Amino acid sequence: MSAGALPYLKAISTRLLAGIPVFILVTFAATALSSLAPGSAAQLILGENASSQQIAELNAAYGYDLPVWERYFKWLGGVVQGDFGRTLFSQQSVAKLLVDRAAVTFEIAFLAMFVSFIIAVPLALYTASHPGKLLDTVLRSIASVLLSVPTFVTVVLLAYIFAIVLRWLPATGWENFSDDPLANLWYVTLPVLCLAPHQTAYLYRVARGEFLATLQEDFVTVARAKGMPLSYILLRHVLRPSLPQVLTVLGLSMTYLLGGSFIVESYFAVPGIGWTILSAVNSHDFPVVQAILSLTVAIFVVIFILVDLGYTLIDPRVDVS
Amino acid sequence: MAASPEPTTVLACEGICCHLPAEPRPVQVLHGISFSVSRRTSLGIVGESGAGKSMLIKTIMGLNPTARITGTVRLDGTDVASLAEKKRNAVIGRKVGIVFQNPMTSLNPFVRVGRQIEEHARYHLGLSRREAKERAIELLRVVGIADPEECYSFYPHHFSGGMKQRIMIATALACEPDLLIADEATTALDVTVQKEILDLLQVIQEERQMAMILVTHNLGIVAGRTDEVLVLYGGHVVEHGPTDRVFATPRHRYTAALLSAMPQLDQPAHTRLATIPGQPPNLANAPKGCPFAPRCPVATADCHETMPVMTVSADGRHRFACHFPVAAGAEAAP
Ligand SMILES: Nc1ncnc2c1ncn2[C@@H]1O[C@H](COP(=O)(O)OP(=O)(O)OP(=O)(O)O)[C@@H](O)[C@H]1O
Ligand SMILES: [Mg+2]
Repeated sequence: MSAGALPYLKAISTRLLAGIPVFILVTFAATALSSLAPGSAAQLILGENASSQQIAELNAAYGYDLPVWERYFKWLGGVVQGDFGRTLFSQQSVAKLLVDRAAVTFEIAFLAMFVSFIIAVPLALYTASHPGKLLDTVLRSIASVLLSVPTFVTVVLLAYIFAIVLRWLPATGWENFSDDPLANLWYVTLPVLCLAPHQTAYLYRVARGEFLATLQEDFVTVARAKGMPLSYILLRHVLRPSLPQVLTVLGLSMTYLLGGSFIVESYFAVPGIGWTILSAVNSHDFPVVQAILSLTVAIFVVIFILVDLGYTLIDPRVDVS
Repeated sequence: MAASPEPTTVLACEGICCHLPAEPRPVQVLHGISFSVSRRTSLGIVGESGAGKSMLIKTIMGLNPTARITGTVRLDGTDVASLAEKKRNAVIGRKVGIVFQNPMTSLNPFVRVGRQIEEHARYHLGLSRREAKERAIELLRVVGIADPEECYSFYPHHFSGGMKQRIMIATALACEPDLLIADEATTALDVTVQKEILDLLQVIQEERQMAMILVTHNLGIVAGRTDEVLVLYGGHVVEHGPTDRVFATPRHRYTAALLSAMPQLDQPAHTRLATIPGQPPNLANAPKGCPFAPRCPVATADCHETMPVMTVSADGRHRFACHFPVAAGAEAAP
């Protein structure tokens, strides 16, 4: 295994290196944003009525009077050591805050992804192998409808049904898994339910198309001619060749899920990174905004690395390098 | 095999018709096709592209789920067309081995070749993992793959086209089938490899005493390699008989035209090949009469109007459907 792992390590590190320029670009832009606002950054943060002494103190602590590039390198120097600074108002460690908040968002995103995967892929496999049958037609229409409903509509609708009419689930709030797993499940259900339908429909569509294409392959005809049962053919000969495309969609849909988390988290007052960045922007908490932007870039780089490595694991023809 | 001096019939097809769903109305791609193949004999099925050769094979194999099919297909005496789908697949998968045209796409690139060779043997014959592996490695050796043990666990992309077709042949042999079908198995390969694969098929067929069907659009492939030849045109059998007899004295005008379009070794170099003028028929609106009439040099009004009936030679071994057959020549002699 150790000899086999080496090319993977190499592949991961080259891809990480390739992600660095993007990371620098985005985080530098985030630093520059605070200088673009009219007036001084410190003034903006402290408000109109701040005394010049308060402004001087803030500048001394955070360096908002320094030129952008200098401030950026200071920040970058901290990041390299895992230090994202402190939040402006509560003076918490930004890194710690970020870890807590990201855990919430990831829990919702991964649960939504998991739910849609286990619903969409088996259904797609079944309907692709029975095209034109009733279930196929019905599911295709349902998927089209779900795809055309914007997330905020889903959120309002489901919240109304489950929280207000049926009162099965809480409309707002959050409990961490580590504090109380059952309560966590209770709070996480509605946000996940809101993100899953769109995600499921999208995945279903792509997977069905991909399975349908694989079913046309000559090697599937060969397997049929060999008299293998349909279930075996689907699992052995259709599923895996179709997975690279499905994997790409999973990677891309992370972008949707993170975007969707902004809406869902702010609607349900769930303390994830979406909710956090919105409140940080409102209160001009620049260290938090900057840290979340960098985290987002890092997440995307990591997702694309994972998707890339996934290809090499799925497809024997693709080399790691 | 001393036990059966008479060759036993492996596959017998009787009046196979096949309609494919199409707009505005279904298209009939096969018109009452009958033939049989016996153990230790081989049949060539010849016809231009679009003649319905692959359709015929798919119909026999039950690989045409959307088609409307009539007629009977008997495999070792069992009427497979009347079996429930699951049972039929099991019987056919067990008794028929098939090699398709394109070796590059016939193997699943995501599955090791060993598994692809042995999976149906494990499923149909209940072989254990070990027995199946032994059989697959043995078959790889039979089809001439060097290092079969190592190749067993390779993925298909390690192999060239010719090698892949050898692996497909090994796959076709895994259940020790009674019938081996090669549907244009060499068309996608280059000429030297073509000959190797054809020779391999022939040797294997003789050694294993199977029945074999060689499907091709190239008469040259059939010559000297098959006992009988069946000529298809526009979904009809136009001529059927012992290969040497059909080659020596073709009776149907289409067969004669095909033969004269074949390059001959004794022709001087750069002789222009005769080609058959005109287009193969469009099955969607087939003519009422003889399907070949629009391209036939001797066709009369009658040929366009009425379908010729099958004429059978005195000894019953040579048949053809032509209003104005080519003169019999020496054919009358037994
Ligand atoms: N889905 C379909 N609907 C209608 N007609 C079809 C359909 N599929 C195939 N055909 C027709 O069926 C006929 C037989 O095709 P087939 O593939 O059996 O030809 P072939 O003899 O194997 O030719 P080739 O040498 O190209 O392999 C062709 O004329 C084709 O146009
Ligand atoms: Mg064909």
